[in-house]
Amino acid sequence: MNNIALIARRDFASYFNGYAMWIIFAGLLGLEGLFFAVRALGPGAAMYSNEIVAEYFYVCWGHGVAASVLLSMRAIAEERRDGTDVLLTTSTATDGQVVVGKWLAIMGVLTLFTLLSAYLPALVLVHGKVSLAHLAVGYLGVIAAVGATSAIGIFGSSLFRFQLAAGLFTAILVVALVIVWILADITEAPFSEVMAYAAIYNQHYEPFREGRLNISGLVYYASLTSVFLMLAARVLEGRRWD
Amino acid sequence: MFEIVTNSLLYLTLSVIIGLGLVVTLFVLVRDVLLRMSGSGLILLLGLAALFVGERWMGEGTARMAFSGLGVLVLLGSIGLRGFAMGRSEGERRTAHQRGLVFSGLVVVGLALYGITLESVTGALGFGEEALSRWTVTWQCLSPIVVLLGVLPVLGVDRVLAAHPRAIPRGALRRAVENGLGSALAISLLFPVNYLANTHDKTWDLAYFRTTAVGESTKSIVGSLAEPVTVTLFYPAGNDTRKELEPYFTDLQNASGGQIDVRVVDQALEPALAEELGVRDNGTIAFTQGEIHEKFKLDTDIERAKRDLKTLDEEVRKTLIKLTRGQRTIYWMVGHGEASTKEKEDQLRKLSVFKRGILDPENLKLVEFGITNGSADKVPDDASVVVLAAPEKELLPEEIDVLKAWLDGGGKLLLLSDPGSDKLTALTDHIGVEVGDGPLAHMQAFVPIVGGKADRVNLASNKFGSHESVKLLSRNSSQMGVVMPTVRWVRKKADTKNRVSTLMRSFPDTWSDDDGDFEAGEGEEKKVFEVAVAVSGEGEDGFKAIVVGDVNLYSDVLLQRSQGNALFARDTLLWLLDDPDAAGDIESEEDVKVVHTREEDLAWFAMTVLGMPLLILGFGIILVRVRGRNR
Repeated sequence: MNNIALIARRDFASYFNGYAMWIIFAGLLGLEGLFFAVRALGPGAAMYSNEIVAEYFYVCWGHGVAASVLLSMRAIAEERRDGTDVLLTTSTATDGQVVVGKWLAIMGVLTLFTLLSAYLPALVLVHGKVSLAHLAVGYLGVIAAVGATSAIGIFGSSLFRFQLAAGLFTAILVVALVIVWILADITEAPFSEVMAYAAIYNQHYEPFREGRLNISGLVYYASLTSVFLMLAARVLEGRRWD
Repeated sequence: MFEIVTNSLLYLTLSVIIGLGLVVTLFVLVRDVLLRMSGSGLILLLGLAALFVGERWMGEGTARMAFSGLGVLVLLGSIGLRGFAMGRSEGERRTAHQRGLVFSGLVVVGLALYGITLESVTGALGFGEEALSRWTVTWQCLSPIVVLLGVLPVLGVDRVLAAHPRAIPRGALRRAVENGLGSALAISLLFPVNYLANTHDKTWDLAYFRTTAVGESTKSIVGSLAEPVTVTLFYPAGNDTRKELEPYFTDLQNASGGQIDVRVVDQALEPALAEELGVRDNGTIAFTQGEIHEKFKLDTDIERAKRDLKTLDEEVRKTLIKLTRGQRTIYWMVGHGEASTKEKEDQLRKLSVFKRGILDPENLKLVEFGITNGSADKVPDDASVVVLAAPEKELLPEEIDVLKAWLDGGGKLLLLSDPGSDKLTALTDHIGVEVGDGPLAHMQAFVPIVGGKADRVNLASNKFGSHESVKLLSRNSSQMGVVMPTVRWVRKKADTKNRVSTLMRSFPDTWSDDDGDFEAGEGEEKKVFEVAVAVSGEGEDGFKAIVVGDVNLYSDVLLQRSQGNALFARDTLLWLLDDPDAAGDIESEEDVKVVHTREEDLAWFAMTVLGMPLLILGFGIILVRVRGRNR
């Protein structure tokens, strides 16, 4: 457990060593604010307050997933490229601990980013009717979803030496998981049901957006996260023998 | 025909492209195996992919046979190549190929498990329906797991072979196989875990929900009851909806000073009472005053009842009004292009929500009043209020005289005007007010609807007078405003003896845009204008009139979206009806639409896009500098 905390702390701190991460934060928050202002508060038909909150979580999901792909692509690939992966492979930390530690660091950054945008749905509280539980459930959904996409990103990062290749691989995999529900229309049962269930957004994230906490969504994201972190650890383990 | 041909051509083209791609890839991989004695795991994967496409996407027919057949051939070819490579290898590499062969065999076993679920096999076995279902489901669930248990170790072995072309380190092969098996089992575990989570799913709806409290208006009504009322809630013991209702009705009882008696019964256990009140099942709330009964339904299932519980106060108030006040009649003038409940072309002149949402709950019957039923003769005796909603054509002189006589007799008039409609000077002079010509405009205090300068006439205001009909709006003016797309000014005539009170005014720097250019030109003075007034005639039994410079304020679009508009429409009408007790807040927990002015839009835009991001950036810069200094 200490090794995991050590790696997580080290990586988390490394994201904030310079101004870069704060500039990225400000830029992404500005972008998120722009999307929110246009989609949820823009000119045209006024929306109900719970619709505005649902729109916010829609925007938040997109930005969170994009940020997770960008952050995770460098997690392991950068270490390999810089040659610092030797330090990790020769340390007392197991491959699983390395992977979990890095994932936790990314999750820390993404959670901070997500919560920094909390002023956006808070604006709705001024004139609208929104429950804090709805906001909490929405954030839980965002964090669960970006947890899964970060895990996919770490797996991608473990496969490649170059960040760009890792990022591209992760992006393709994530996009495939977003649009896989389309395959449900052209395949037959039981594969159609599997495809529909595998989609990372439709069935699993929509309830969180609307303030509904459901167990199957959490289990889906948790299982996806576990499998990809496990696969990443396996890849690192295999590389020890190279 | 053209579509069918096009679709077939498309499929053919796609099939050819995919086929060509497959062939080229195969060629490259086979060459690699033959030259370097590497593993054939990727060829195995290609074979599986072709088989999957054939079995799951190609339906029945030649295409399916082609793809599936190709898949099987490629699969068997990969095993053949593995055997060939094994024969040509030595030592650890030979062992690696042996392992690869074993696990490739496992893939074939997995496919065989799938094969025994095909119709051609199950048909020969002669199963009954239930047995067939169990047979098919069991093997079709196991098949992909067994295939995965074969594929991943094969890929692991091939990776070791590729990474170590000469000598394989001790333990690397065993580790690769273990990793492959472990990964396959972990991925396989995904399916039953998610299946169980899906079939035993639990959901908690935590979106905003609250049962309303008793509103001021309802409290006023029950507080002024002349005769006692009994409220009977028909719900079974322990019911969730009942638990939500009881606190509300307890508060209602307390507010009534003993005039309301509340009882909660199960309809099944009180059949005689239920019959007396005309109640057939639970989920009904009945109100009784003397011999008069009114009731409404509210579901016993809490999930279905949630929507109605949010507007419970409104429903209770409406029922109490029906029970205690009796029906009153509103006469709505027609025949001169008035805005109406039946308007089809101009949505801003459609007032059906005014009828449905304001008149009906107050137990007010609407009757059209035109030439055919006496508008040039006399206002009927049963009229409580006459409504004149921005007529586009002039009224007949006789009709004007009828309305004047109505007012002189202490009648009540709701006069709505609008730029473009007849100014009704003869009538407004009699009332003691004047109305303007063009629409009022403002540079900032408007609601953006169409975009551009034209929006400057869509005024919003939260500047209310001290008249009793707008006291609730006045008290909540910081949260509620009224939207008025195109509004005329209204003001007291200098020589009138009638009492004219301001209901609502515009913001300062408003101008009357008489030339219609949306700019404050010469002669268009900027100042505060009155836009709605209440007029009381001389003496105790003098007439009452509400004159509003904008009929659009009452339109469906705005009554539904703006709480301020709805409250203004309701409370001014109640004042006309001499029913101010019924005015006041109606509690509702229904979600509200967020309406915002252009000023607010700019403020929110600036904050969300610039303000907060810059604040966070500034914080980050300071933090980095402080940390840098501390090092």
